[in-house]
Amino acid sequence: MIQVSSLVKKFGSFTALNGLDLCVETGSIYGLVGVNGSGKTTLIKQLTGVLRPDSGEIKFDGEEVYDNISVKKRTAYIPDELYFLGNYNLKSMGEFYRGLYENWNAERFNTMAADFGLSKTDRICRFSKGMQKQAAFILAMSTMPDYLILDEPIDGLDPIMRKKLWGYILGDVAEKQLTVLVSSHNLRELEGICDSIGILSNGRIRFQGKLDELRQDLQDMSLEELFIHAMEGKEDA
Amino acid sequence: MNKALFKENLKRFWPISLAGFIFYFLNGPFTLLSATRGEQVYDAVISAAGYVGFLILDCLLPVAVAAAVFSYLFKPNSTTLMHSLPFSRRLLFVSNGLSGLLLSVLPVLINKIIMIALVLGGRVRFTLTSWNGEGVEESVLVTMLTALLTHIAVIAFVYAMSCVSAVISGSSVINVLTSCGLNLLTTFVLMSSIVYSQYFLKGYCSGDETMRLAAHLHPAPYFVMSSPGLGYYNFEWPMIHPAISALIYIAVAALIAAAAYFIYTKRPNERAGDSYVFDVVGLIIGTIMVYFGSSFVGFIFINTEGFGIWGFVLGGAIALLIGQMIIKKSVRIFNAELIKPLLLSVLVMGLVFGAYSLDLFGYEKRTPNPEKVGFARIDGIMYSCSGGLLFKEKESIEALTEFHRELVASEDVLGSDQDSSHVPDIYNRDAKRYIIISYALPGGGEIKRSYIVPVSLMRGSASFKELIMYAENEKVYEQLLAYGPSQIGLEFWDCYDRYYGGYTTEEFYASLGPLHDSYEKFSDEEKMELWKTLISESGGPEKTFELACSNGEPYFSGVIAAYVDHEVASPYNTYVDNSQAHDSYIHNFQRIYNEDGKVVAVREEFIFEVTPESEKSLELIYRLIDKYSE
Repeated sequence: MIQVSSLVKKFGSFTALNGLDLCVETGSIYGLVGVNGSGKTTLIKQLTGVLRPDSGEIKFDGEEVYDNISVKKRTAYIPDELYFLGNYNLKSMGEFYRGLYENWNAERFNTMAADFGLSKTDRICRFSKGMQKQAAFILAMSTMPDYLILDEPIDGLDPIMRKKLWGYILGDVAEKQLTVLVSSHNLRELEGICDSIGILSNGRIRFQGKLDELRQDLQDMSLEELFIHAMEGKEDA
Repeated sequence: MNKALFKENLKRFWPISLAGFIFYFLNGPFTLLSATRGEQVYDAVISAAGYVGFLILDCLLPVAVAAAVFSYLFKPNSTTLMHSLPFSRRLLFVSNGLSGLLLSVLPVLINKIIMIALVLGGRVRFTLTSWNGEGVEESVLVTMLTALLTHIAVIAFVYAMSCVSAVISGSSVINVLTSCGLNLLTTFVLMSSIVYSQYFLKGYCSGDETMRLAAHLHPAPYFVMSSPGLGYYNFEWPMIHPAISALIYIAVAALIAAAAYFIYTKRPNERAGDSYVFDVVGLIIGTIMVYFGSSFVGFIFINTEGFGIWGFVLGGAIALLIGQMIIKKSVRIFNAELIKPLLLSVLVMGLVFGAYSLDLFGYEKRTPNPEKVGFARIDGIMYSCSGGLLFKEKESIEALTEFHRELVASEDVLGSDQDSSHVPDIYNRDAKRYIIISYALPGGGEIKRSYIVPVSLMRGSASFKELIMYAENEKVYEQLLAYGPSQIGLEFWDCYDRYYGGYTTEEFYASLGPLHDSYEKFSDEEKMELWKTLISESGGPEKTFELACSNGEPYFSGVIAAYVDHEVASPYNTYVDNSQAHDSYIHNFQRIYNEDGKVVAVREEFIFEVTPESEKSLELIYRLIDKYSE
């Protein structure tokens, strides 16, 4: 379970996250939505240990994340803006990851590379944006993570690849209780796969709950309608 | 340490190391092998700690390597990736840091091993010069390993500074510039402080002490300047073996690296891409830029009419604006954020000017406690010679400090360093002396001051006369009589032809020139007679005082130097070690080297002025020259 409580992060005089609370159940998919600049990426970078919180707690199954190697080894992260080591191809990136992640699954790596049709010997920097996203996804899933943090994961992917990608994720959620937090502006896509959602605004979760229950409470309102509703300050409806 | 990351760095950045290896190879093994084998002496290349051919890369390679291994810190996406992978910050810093250190050290290590193999295998003839020039030889292997250790020390130091630069910088260009700046910072600050001191502080004298301090602040200049293999003097006192110095620098480098690690744990990753990731660092570096910009422009224009202090203001303002543009990465700097660096810069420059102009640290008034002075000297008191007098006895040192206090109290009548026309040289009749007073303190410290002193002040000074008349000055001549004729050599050195008096320089030189050639033929009795006559006519302290206060009166003299060569291990060797502090007008020590640059003796010199009034000496000399030149 991912548990975030009273999280505060400031950048100078700007408060990006202001006492944020969030909970992601084990083996569930949590959709994080919010307007631009609401603090989604800041939250995600703290969930992955990139940034240090000013105050508050982030715990994965009761363990702090920041500077915690054992939690990080069980966590995979695909950022919005990708980066691969200079001039590396998928094979050499895989070798690098194999040395870092104890659960590295070479078989899955090879299978997924073939499935996505990516060359393992071409330099990744020469891949298209969508192909780079696939490469990052292959690397992330081959670490066999317990937690998967995705920041705009389907941005730049075609529908076929998106379907494949979600297929792998949903498979791991079902089979090995993978816990997923995904941030996206594509609300329709999230609506189809998320168990829970959280709507982030001005550094706080303004709305959080299980999607099925919310639908019942809000008379089958779509996620997009729910989001607009919340953003207009009508969350108490 | 994370082995995967360590290995990955070696795989990614080995070309930088290879380029370094080739540079070292061309300057090291290739140089040795390409010259005529067995005939050349490769002392500097092989053994010198400060071999410049290697030191250049010792300073550049670590900067490049550190920039490479920490390059992920300078872009938001690479920072995000590396910090989201299963590393702690400690692991990231240590793994990257150690891999970078290995990549920096490996090229010089391999090249030095090749050179050791070439020398030990007899491919290259190698004449060993000991590290301190005293002829205490170590084995070739120890000497070469010591040189290797010194290169590693320079690399480790520069690399540690570059690590600090990497963890405070947010962009790669700024990182490289900061890295170079940090490595040069201490030396530049010291150099600028010398310029400020020369301008503001009466009596300021930049001598060996300043050089020593400047060199100690960074291992690269230290090893260059202390390397006997390069022909520089070793100024360390007491002398330290280069291996010990290297280990000290390595320990300092480890402390700097620890500081870099500490900063890294606090680094805000969200600032990747900015010039500096800490606001306080930007503020400090901006202020440093103002200090140097202000000082640079200020001192260029300080003597230009109409500029004065405004040169400093102009330079500071330009540096402030350019600095803030670089630090903010924007030309839009004219806003409220400019107030803080502006105020800090004004404060710092105000403190600098205040400290110097008001002499806050009491530099001008400071004179030492005579009890705590090992020995002292005064230079520049002679009209005819730039040499001086050395004092080791307590009474003499007390008299010198008293004269020094008198000079400090007479500030109004002293000349100004800025007015060079008042600085007399040996051909200048100006009735002022450029006097340097230095005190050697226990533990190697030194107090050194210089003043432009009117001769009238010296003539009327009771403490100055007391200083010159002390018996200590007499003893020097007496020493000469203790040596036998077979130990003493003689040379006619020079001739100072002031205002003729019936002679010309050429005539006087022609008359005494054959002295050196004839001297060897003198009998022992004749030699002893000559010494006694020279000593009796030297005039002693009375003559010294008279010449010091001569006020530029015409006189005519030549200089005859008698010398005695002592074995290297003689007590006099320790005098020579402290640079030139024992060089005296009437008593001088210097090292004598053989063709291979090895010290074979310490020469003790006694110098006599021979003027037309030295009638007995001249009569005897001419008689002996006539006798033996026939």
